[in-house]
Amino acid sequence: MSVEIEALKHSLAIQESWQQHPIEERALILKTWGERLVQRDSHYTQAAQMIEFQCRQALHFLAQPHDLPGPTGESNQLYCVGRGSFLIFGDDSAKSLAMIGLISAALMAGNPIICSVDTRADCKLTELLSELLKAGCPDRVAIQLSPDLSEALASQPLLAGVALAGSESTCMHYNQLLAAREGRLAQLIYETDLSNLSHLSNPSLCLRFMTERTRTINVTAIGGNATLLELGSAE
Amino acid sequence: MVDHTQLLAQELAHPSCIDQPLEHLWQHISPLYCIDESTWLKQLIPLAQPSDDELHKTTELTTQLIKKVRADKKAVHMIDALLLEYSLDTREGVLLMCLAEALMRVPDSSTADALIRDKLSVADWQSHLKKSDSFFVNASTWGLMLTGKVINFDERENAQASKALNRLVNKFSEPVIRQAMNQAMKIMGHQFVLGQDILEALKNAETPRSKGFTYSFDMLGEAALTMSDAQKYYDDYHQAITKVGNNKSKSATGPAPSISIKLSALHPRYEAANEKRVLSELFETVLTLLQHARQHNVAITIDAEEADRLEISLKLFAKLYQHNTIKGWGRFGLVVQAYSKRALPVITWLAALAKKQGDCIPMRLVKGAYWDTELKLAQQHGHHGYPVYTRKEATDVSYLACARLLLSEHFRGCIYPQFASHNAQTIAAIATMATHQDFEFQRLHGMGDTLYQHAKELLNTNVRIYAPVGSHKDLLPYLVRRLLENGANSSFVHRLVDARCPVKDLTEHPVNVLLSRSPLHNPHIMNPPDIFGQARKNSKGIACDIESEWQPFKQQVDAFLGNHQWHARPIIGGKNQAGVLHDVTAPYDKTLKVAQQEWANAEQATHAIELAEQAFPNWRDTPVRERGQYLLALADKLEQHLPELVALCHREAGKTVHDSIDEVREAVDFLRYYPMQGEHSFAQPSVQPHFNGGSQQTHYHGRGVFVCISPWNFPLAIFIGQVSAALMAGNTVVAKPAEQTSVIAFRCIELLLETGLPENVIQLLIGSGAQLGTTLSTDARVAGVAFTGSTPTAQTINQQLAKRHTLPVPFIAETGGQNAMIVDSTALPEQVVRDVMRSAFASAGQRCSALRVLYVQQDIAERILQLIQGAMAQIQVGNPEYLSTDVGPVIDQVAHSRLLEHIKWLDANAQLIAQANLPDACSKGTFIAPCAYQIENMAQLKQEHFGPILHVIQYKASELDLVIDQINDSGFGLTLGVHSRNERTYQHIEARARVGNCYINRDQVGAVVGVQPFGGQGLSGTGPKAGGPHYLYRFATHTVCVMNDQEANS
Repeated sequence: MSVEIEALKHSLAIQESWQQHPIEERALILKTWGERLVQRDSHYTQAAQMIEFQCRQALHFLAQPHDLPGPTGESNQLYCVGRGSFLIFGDDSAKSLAMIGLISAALMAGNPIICSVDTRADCKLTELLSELLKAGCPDRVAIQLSPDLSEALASQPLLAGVALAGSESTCMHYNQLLAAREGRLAQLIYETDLSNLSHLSNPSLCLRFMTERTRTINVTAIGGNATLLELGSAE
Repeated sequence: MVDHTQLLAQELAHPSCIDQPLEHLWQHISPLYCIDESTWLKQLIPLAQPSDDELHKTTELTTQLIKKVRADKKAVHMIDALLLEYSLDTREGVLLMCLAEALMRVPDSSTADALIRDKLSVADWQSHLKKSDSFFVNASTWGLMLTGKVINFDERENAQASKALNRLVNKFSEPVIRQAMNQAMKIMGHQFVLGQDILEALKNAETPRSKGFTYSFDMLGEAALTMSDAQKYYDDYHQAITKVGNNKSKSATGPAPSISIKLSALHPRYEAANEKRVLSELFETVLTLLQHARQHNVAITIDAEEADRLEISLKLFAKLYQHNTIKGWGRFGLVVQAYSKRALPVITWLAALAKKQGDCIPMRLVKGAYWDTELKLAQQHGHHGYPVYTRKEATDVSYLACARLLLSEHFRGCIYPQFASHNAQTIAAIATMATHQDFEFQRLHGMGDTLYQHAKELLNTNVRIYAPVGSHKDLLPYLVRRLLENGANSSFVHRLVDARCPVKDLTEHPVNVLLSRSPLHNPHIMNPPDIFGQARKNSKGIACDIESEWQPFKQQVDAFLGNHQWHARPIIGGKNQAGVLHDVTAPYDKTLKVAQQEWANAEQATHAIELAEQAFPNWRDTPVRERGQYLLALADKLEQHLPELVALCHREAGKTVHDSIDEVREAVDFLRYYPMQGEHSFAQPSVQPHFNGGSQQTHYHGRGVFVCISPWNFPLAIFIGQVSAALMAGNTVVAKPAEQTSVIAFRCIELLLETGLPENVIQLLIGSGAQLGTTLSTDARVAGVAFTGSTPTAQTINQQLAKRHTLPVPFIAETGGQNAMIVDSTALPEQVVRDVMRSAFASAGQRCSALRVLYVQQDIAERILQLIQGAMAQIQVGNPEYLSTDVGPVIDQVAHSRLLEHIKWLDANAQLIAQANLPDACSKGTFIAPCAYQIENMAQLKQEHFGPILHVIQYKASELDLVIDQINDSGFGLTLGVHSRNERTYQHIEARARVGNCYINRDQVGAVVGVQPFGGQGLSGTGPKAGGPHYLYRFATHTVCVMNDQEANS
């Protein structure tokens, strides 16, 4: 089995348990990651702020299930879970801050990730992932992959999507790679504005990393509707 | 309507009223279906209002009755005590009922044990210990508590040393617990069931009959889903009539016993929509029973059921009553529900019917047992009001108003009133009101025993006991409904035996109670149009089973059927464009030409994009609220044009009546939901801390020209759903509906432009998907695409978009599904099969959400498959314009051929379970007979088959997780249905299954905008969910403005 397929297999195996990890705990792990990075090197101060930003926004958008009003006798909720395994890729122009932003957003939404960055990029990926593991991120939730395998991984139909920091041409190239795949349509989330990080500053970026579920429970199934009686009679 | 009904109640109560022609009186019934509650109650109150003397006497009599009951040491029977202790406002009470409802029908012990564990381990049984004086309740509580303890113990333990021992104890105790619980359920059953068969019931009835009580026996059970179940119930009734007729009790001192019949048990299609069958097939069945009953002189009462069946039940009753072999008998009667707003005109009509024929009609007046269902159905179907009262005291007032009429001199001899109530005040009020003795009281077996012992002594009236007869397994759902009905704190039964409740509170006259309320209706229960609160109005539906609602609507729809022809063209720059002509024929009759379309070409498509691009800046900068106003105006217009749009849904898409109405309703819901969401998310910039420190202000706005490509299966709803979301987010739109259903899209855009929407903001392209789709998705100016359709087409569009030399743009794709339903052995088979029929075959299976693969736990598969076969034999396939049609055609010849090909494969590789009948009349259209096949596993299905084909797979209880894996491995993830009474089981399935919409204990189609936002994952689509809170974000882009702290504060 090739390396990228094995990596994906590992990542998919952890998907269900990472997804069921409470989002608040995921946020704690990431915040600890930020703190550890700053402790390691003060130039990560902004990175810690980026992690904080992505965590806050994800908590804002994703933490609470939406109770949806509907007919009596039925409960309807919408909640968000991760889409699946993501490749987080940086080309030679990528920078740590962008990669950290994408990693945080992907993990907060409940996706396991496989990270890969061009060796020429200004990003010490091994260092980042090592600190992430030490911050309490479960084994296999964030896997590192050699950059020369990233295209092969992107072509795997079971990969849910690619989050990319890099040039516009890299972005278009990956877009074509993903479109050429069979099977499900993959997400391509990108940051090409590497000086202003305008995509990463989108407060609703986390929505791109998640998929929504609704659960509808017929509570009259047992033959009656106790909730109606609880409404009382406005006496 | 209000003006029309002014003083109607008075008129109906007037002695001369029952001399009016029956047809005239009939006209008063239906219009009261959803009448404004307070308006109508104001008319009823004078009829129920007691005189001072009457009030005084009633209060005194009520007090006397309550005191006697409370002084009676035997008053609190076991079941009453249980009700008192485990009322519905305790979690334990609800859990106990859930267990009672399901446990006895579970055939396999592992599932039964899991169910017991599920219900008992989460409750606080200890808090109920010794609160009741009843030995039975305390003993039960001990049992429940201990059981809960044992089970909790197992749940809590981790890797303790005692683990093995505890588990052992638990293993040994499980069969004991199961047995004990089953025994407890049987004890509960005995309280409500007189006998497991009619002979046992007659035997058990002897002692009460020797004391002057009499009986009405009811063969318990659910409504029949199949002809064979209906036959079984018929046989039960027939046999019961014989036995009751032949029973010559020597000791009985009261009137002869009677039998109550539930019509829904005697015919699987007892519905207003099937009037012809009801008035022929069901008529014949009931007539035979009545003739048999007359031979044996056993009185028969027709039970009342849901409000939608009232009018058809009256028509059937009249036809039977007026039959030559029934005339002159005077022992054939029916039940009227006082909670129905139509009760008063119904009894007047019945009295007139009796007077005309000269035979008395025995009539049981009840308060009504389907209250919760009626409210829910009215909300779901978007009716303008409720068919029932929303306050209990309003029902009580209606009851007394009806009672006054029933006891009046001019009704005497026409109607023999039978007052069913367990309320001492109601009994006293009726006894006081009555000036003669030609009436009786009725009570339910197992309830109000003591009350009626004393009432009978005091009042010397006849009392009939309504007594369920049948196996405990069949009775439990019924029992639970009774418990739910009577378990609330406000229920009289409950308060009567509760010494803490002052007698004065129980003697209050309902008229006075109601008059003390303002308003007269219950303001906590929103009317169906208002269930979504202030934010948006529920879309309007039509009550098709109600004559006064359906007939005027049908006439309006008919105006667009007949020879009506539509003509649809592309609309570019606000103007209709010429194109290549194509005829549109009806899918159910290919010889019926219904419209012409003119198809646009690639050049016109490019021009449409140009105009949309030009219009974009202005539209983007149009205030969010203003954008929303156009959509809201369109929503109203769609409702105004509902009849035409329904006709178009029939003619162009082959949709049935209900599907067509639902189609327009969903469109209207989208048009009201997205403006609300837009206002909420986009009207004001949001402010949040920036990741560089300081703050940022974020504006969301349109991206540019959005292309919306929609399918034929929801030709209006999905079409306008996509368009309205794109417009609301500030994009201009080029819309391309499916070529099969472009006419309805054309009408919709015409109406949208009538709202004053700037003309270049929306462009409509009608034509070939292959040609126009390619032009649109390869154009570099396109800023996003919303698509609903097949997975392969989505992939093609995605590839075309990616080939452009631009950065990726949003591609929102909603595609197919391989939707499953998992049914375990705790599920109620009848409910399962009802939901399976709708999920798999509604809309001829042409819904993305439709059920394709049913997983049934082996232990109950036999019963489920039998029911599926029987229910499929009842499916009516045919012309979708008829209300009685369940399944219409598939969309076209291509779909038809593909489905037939799959059926051919199934014939060779799977086992046929059932196939519905395809009448000859279907030969002109593209019809597929709904069918069901048993297969081995889901992997045998390589793709989605978009039609009325159901695949069934049996699984072992221990393989549940493998089933979930199979479903996940299909790669699709749209909808999933689950039927289980075990909360942990359904929670586990729901958490593990990778699907967008999970429906538990109901059908899995018919997602409602804003209630069940719709969309899947994996091969089923990209998300976000249409009709959900995150949808609009994907149509928008953002601008961030970073501010320092001072700016942010200002």
